[in-house]
Amino acid sequence: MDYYVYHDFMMHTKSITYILMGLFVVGFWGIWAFITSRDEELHKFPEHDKE
Amino acid sequence: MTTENKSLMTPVNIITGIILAIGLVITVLRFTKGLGTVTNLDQNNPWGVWIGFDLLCGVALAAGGYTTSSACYLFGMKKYHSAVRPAILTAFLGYALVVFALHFDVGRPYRLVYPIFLQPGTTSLLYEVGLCVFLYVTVLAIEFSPAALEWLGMKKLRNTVHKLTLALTIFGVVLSTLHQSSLGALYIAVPSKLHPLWYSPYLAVLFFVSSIPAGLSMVIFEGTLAHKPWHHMMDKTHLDEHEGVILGFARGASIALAAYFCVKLVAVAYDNNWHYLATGWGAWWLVEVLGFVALPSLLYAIGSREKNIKLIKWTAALTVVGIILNRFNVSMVAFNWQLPADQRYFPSLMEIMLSIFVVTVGVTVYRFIVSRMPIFFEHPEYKDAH
Amino acid sequence: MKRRQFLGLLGAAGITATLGTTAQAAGGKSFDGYPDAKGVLFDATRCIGCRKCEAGCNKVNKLPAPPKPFEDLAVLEKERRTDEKTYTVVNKYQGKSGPLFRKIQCNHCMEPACASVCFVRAFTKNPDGSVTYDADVCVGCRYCMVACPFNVPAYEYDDPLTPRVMKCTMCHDQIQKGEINAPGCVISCPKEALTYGKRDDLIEIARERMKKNPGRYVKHIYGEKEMGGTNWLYMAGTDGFSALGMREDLGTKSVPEISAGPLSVVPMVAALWPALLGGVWAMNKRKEKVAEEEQKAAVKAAKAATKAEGEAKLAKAMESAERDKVQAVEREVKRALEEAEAARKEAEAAKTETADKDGEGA
Repeated sequence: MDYYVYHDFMMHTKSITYILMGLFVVGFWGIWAFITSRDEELHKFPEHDKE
Repeated sequence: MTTENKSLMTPVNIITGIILAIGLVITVLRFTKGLGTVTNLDQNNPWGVWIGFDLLCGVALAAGGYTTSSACYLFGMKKYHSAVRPAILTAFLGYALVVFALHFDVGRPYRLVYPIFLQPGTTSLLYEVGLCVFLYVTVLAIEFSPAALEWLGMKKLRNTVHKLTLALTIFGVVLSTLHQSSLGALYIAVPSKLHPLWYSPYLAVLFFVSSIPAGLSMVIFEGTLAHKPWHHMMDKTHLDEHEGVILGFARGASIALAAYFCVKLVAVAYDNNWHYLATGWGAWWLVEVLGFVALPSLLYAIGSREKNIKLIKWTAALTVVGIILNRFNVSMVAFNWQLPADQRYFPSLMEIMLSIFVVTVGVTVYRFIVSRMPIFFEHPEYKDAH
Repeated sequence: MKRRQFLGLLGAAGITATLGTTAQAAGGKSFDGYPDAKGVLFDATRCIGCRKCEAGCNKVNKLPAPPKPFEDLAVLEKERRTDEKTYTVVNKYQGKSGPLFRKIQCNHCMEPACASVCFVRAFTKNPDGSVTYDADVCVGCRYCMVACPFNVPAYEYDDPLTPRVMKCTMCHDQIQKGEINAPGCVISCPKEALTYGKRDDLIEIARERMKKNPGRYVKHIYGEKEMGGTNWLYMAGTDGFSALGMREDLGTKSVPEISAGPLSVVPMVAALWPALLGGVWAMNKRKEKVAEEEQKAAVKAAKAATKAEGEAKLAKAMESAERDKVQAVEREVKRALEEAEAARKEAEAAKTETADKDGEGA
């Protein structure tokens, strides 16, 4: 794709970047869940017991 | 809305009622006559106090949500746990009000979702802000929902939401970092309009770093305000931890302000703008940076070292004023600084009244919620769970 | 090197890896605008401030009639700007030798600030060089007005629900439809102060004029590079552009280029923060766990120690008790023996006594 205007080129690249960012967030969640799925302790979300 | 009942005729309620009534009148004017009638905005000054205060200050001062929740849940400072709920509530209300206020300022509020769902303008930093604020309001609503669900007795849903705490906290910090900084970055597009002492390629960093002491100070400030009227609502844990929260947050705010001070200086050094310090603008810049950044940093340090709670509370107020001053300087005072005085912007009475109206709506909702929901105390049924 | 440039270059370096030649453009020069983009050349030395261009613009764009007619030149005494009912205005300035005039309208930036900052893509840079606006998506945030370095877009502040941003379109629609072959202002200029044509040609025309009329112009084409270049170009007499109220401190960097730095940081936060914060959390969680285990171990050890100590104490007590007992027994035995001895002696004595008394009886 050829762009004559830098702004149009940026619109294209930044749109892709935003989609990537969405994937990052979902991806992190997935990887985290995968890594900790066999842990007994760590995969649990923080329970803030007070004592 | 509250002045009908006789038992509700307290001075606070009466003032609230008057402000709400004035706000409604301005609302009607805004949506029948337009911004031209209500505001002092003009072709050269398109953003006024509704952006400078309601948006910029609103978001900065609601930073207590992400600072407190990350301190407690991510950085392992469990002793601040009792401060998390009030901070999340304020942040949620703060952001909700920002969105509410934007409906007055933008020309076609019914299209506010267009950038997100219809035609995203991804090269705009305002798109970044819009997307993040939209997502963060959602995150805050979910983060706050356990309090409402406990109040409503919806145990199962509450426990499900509670499990999301860590993920939501991390997502919240990501979103906050992004939009706090992008609000500053909005002005990176206008090097020719913003005074060099406030314009900097570091504007994004400056806005983000300053949001930390802003948030911490708001938690202290608001905790102080809430302490008297709702003392009876606060449980032992909250009261016991209160002083520790104030001392710890004062220490954090002192260091954050010191860091902010450094970035402020670096921003001047970057474009070699020192000579502006000798001008009237420079004097005003020094007032902001010495009086409302360096001084509160020092006072916080002394206060936390000497365990002087009273000093800390006053410093919190000073810091909050300083952050408001900075946002006003960037968005209004130093913006369009080259225009002749008669073309400069000064808010109209109705603009100021509407901003007061928005804050009052927030305070009223806050009062409603903390008087009913488990904010300052732990719900007896969920004591060990959070 | 400025930080934004540096970040821009960083970005460019990254893009080069994936897109090849176009990419170098991001850091350098490849985005030269649409090849056939048109523009207008304004020659201030030819402008006489007749306001005919204003009238022509008003007519072609069907804008509302102004409060004072276009023939009224007294209007020029006060500096004006474009507004929601006026796409172009001519202002009068005082030069060294007589009045100077300058026409203001949208400059149709090659890299438009308004388009760059618009969060709904309401602005488009068209292949014909014009920058146009789409009211159908506009939210009315007015960031375009904030960002425009030339203060051109205007807003319908008196429209409560459907306000539009209004600005010159270089008569894009009218020319596209074939109604006119040049913008309304250009057609109506009686002095040829305005020239419509390909931007590249206009720059050449301007250079030519400078060459042919030495001493008439300042050697600068305003808009050739300002804010990344504009499709509306300006030539000024020897008084220069600042005498025409034009800012000469805008720089050559376009708003898209300026925004590239902060925009490049955005995905970094999304990519790095979750990892860092998750790590911080995990470290603290681990520390807590270790602390918890240490505490448990300590409690256990303490318990064990207490027990051992208790046992030792008990043993000691037992021992001492034993000792006491032995001593007591010994003491008792001794006393008993002593007593017995005493008793025996007594008895003996008594016996002797009795024996003595009894005599031979025992």
